[in-house]
Amino acid sequence: MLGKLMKYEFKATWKLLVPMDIFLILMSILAYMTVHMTLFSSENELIEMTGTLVLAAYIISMFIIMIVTVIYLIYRFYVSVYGDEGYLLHTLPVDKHHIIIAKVFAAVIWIVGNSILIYLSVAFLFTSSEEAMRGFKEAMEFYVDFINSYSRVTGFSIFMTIVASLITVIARILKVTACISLGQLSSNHKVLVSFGFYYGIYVVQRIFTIIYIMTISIVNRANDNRSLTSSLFGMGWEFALISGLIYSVIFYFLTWYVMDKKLNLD
Amino acid sequence: MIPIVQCMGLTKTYGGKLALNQINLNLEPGRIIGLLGPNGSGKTTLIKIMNDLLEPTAGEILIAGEKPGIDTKYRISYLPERTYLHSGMKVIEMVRYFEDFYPDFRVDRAFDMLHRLQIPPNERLKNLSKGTKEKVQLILVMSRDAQLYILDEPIAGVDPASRDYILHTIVSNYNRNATILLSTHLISDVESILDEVIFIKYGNIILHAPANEIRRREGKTIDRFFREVFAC
Repeated sequence: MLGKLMKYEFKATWKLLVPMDIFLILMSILAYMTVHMTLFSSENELIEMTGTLVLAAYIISMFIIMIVTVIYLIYRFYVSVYGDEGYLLHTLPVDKHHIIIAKVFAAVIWIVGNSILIYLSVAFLFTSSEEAMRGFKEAMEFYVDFINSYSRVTGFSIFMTIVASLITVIARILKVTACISLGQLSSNHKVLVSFGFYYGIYVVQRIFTIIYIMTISIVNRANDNRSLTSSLFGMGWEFALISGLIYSVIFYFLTWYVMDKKLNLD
Repeated sequence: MIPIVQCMGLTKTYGGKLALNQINLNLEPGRIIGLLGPNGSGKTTLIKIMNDLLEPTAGEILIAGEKPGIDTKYRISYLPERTYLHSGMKVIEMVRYFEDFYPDFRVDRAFDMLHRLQIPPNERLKNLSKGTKEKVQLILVMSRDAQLYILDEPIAGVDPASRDYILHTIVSNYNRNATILLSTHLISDVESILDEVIFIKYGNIILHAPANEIRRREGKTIDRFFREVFAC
């Protein structure tokens, strides 16, 4: 049943998200051509303006696609779980855990997929001219040197950073599902209460992060006299991974609890 | 034979407000039962609990001897009051959806009913009228070979001309060993098909008896009797 739930989750979301990704690919090609033909630094004012506008539209489209993807996924979750469609979803002979897993899995695929597409699109843009490529390489080298000066960059640390990023994405998705679910506990103003929970949880998470940073910097200072900046950049993937896992478990449980024990569809 | 529905002291409160008050109820297989009561009497609350959409505050409910959960959802075919279909999907996609999740779903029966009611399978649900969407839902629900059909206001949004056909659809498309629990305000339209009647008022079952017995004892139709009992 989990496979079937996932199948219908993708069916319900691809119609908006795939055309947006195709649009981004088209914008990337347009931006590539603009940079390749150096339209944005042309002598002709009109051509220069067009080139600049194309690049601006390209950058804006990346932001819009990420924002629309997230908003649409939140909307789909709300409507299908706690809206009228919930009457169908919650009377299917399926485990509530499978419902959550299917929805989170689909959201992760779309968000990570979009991020990879944007990354590839930007990388593609840098191949449009030698000058851009050189600039990109220099920026990457500077970034790696910068991180290296605080903690050593290895193949393992890169892999673990990717894993930690993935866990962070999952934790953020579950945070949204948990807040929407907690909002259902209110008989009125469910959306407002969901936002309230989101802000409240955000504040609590910030406090925990600050406490962690302060603790770790005090320990580091006592041990090897490292500066606060050094401690911050030397935090690496461990904190993101562990906090992401803890938050994921808490938010998953909250979502499941409301969906299974406190469901009250209008 | 195990009752298809057993309620024992079933109680539900919403923030201190009593919606169901210690209900004791047994529904037997093979009956068409009308669940009748005015707005806010507790009909939908009782139906939601049967479908595992709501947790009771106290008491117990069993569906074919089991607590509401995944297993009981295989046994119940539920038509809610709301339009619960994803409006972006086509009618045929909803048929496949039901076929995927319910092993007892009969695709040929669904297509036959769609054809008879002249509903185009390739039409998107958002392009259908509210009444047609309700017909699609009813077709999907009645195309299952369930043990218990729970129909919450199945004809409320349908034009009077189609009501007879829909009631005929309900009666002719269910397994004779199954039970139909039908909640409605339109008593006169459904009265002829009811075997049993339940009157519910302020969360209490005030009457549960065979339809014929009520008519004989009271000397009037159930519709008329209902109007007297629930007169404002």
